[in-house]
Amino acid sequence: MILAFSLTTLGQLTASGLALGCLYALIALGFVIILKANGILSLYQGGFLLLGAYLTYQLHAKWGVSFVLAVLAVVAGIALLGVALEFVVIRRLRGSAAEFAVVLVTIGLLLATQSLVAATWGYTPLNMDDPWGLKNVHLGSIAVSHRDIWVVGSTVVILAAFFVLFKYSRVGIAMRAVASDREAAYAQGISPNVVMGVSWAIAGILGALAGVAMGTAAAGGVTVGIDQAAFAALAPVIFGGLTSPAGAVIGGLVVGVAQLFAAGYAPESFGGGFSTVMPYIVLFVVLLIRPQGLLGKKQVRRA
Amino acid sequence: MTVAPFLEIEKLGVQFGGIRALSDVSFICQRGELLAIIGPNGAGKSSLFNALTGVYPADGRITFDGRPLIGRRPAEIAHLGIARTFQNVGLFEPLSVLDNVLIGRHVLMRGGVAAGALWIGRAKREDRAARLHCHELLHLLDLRQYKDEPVRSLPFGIKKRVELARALAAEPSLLLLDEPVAGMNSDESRAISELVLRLWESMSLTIMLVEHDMPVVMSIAQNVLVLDFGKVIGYGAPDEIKRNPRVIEAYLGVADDTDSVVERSLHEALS
Repeated sequence: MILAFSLTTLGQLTASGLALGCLYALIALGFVIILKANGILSLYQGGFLLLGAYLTYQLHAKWGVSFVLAVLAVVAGIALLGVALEFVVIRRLRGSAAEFAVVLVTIGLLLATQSLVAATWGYTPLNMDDPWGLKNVHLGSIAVSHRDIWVVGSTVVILAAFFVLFKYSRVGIAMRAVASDREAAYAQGISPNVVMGVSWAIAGILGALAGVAMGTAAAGGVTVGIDQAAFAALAPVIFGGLTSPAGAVIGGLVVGVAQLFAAGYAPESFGGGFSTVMPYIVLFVVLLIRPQGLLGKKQVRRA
Repeated sequence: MTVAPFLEIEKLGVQFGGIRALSDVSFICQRGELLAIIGPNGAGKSSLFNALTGVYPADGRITFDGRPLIGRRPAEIAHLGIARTFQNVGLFEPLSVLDNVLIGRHVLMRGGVAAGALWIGRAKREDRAARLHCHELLHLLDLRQYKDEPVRSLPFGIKKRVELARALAAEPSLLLLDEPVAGMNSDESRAISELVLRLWESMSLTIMLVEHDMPVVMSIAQNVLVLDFGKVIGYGAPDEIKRNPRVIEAYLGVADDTDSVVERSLHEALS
């Protein structure tokens, strides 16, 4: 067997892997932000992905709203949905229910969303075209699709915006304070309701944007399986150390590239779907070597 | 007509399971007063602060500036104008000194979350004003050089000052200081007590101060409240407290190693 190895293939796979990794990074960041602000792991990220993709499809492909307007409207709507979910469901459980019960509730919400989406739009993959076109840009011998450039570019802009928000804005500083010491933050007059609501809105925005990017034709169209990416994005979350936003972003990129390498280089005998298992393999290896994750801190428990 | 007291505490009690941390504590703190709270370890001094700030559930009555406090959440109480520092420093360790102080200021800001995030309108003006005010405070407390350092990298004495700056940033009408000079040498503690005194005078604050350092307490407090086993055993001007037999007994009567430092300092203060 000759391994088809060339620099062109390597570059090609890396470029596509980074684009996929950017999407993982956005989704992973959503997990981390809710975890840091609320102290619970919400598994609802997949729901935001589904709704982001399907609602954009509805507005753009069915009702003819321009793509940019459709995305802006959907993102705003899903931010509100995030706030509403936190306000109506999660908040009632806070303090009274066990942490794990809240995690289970988020899974329940995800299942409900999946059913709702399937009942409304069916199981057939839907096409919302490629707003970025299907053209490629050639960097030397490497062809990079417009979509990938848009995905990477928007991710950089979004990450920069959130960085500035967390660094300088009042709510951002408050969120970092809550992440550092929840009780002390509340004692300073920081409203837990605002911080938690905002964290859900941000997670919703990030998930919806990733969902839209994953629902374009080049990425495989709008399918009910889109939410699987959210589970794959748990790998970078844990890889990065659960509560490290930077770790989640780096983890997303690493997992994305690893997945594309697996798609390109794994022998056929591994089976066609092998690359989709790759995030979990990366996760497994990282946890064996560094159980606290890449940028996580070792938890010291008092005996 | 008599003026209602600034802070009135009536029959305050705090209970943890079977342990009564505070029982039947009643006293008054007038506006502008500097009241020290002393007592041996475990006397309930910090519990009193925690009850006041809504951290511990309590029974009895606390009236602050005409409003009842019992049953309110810590955030609400912070918004009413009570700020505190903690015995072991309750700062946000990964955040910078400036960010920590800004958080103290947040209780005074009214602009919306979205407006703040988008840096527009009232929230923007408020944010500018807040940063300006915090810079002034850092200057006042001689902390400017540490502005952008994460708090976790600073020595304990500096952290204590940062915490004081954060509490002052809220422009509180009542400031609760929990052992501001603990763990400091005598030079540092003199500097901090002079600073507290200076701030108290220049900002017309009302201060309640828990402190073990008797020379500090006796030199700056107007009145002293003495707690022992969760009960008030003495209240009065420092000179009266020094002569109060129950106070002397509480401090000197128990042969407890953990309080030997306190005993020694009280001895020094009394002699």
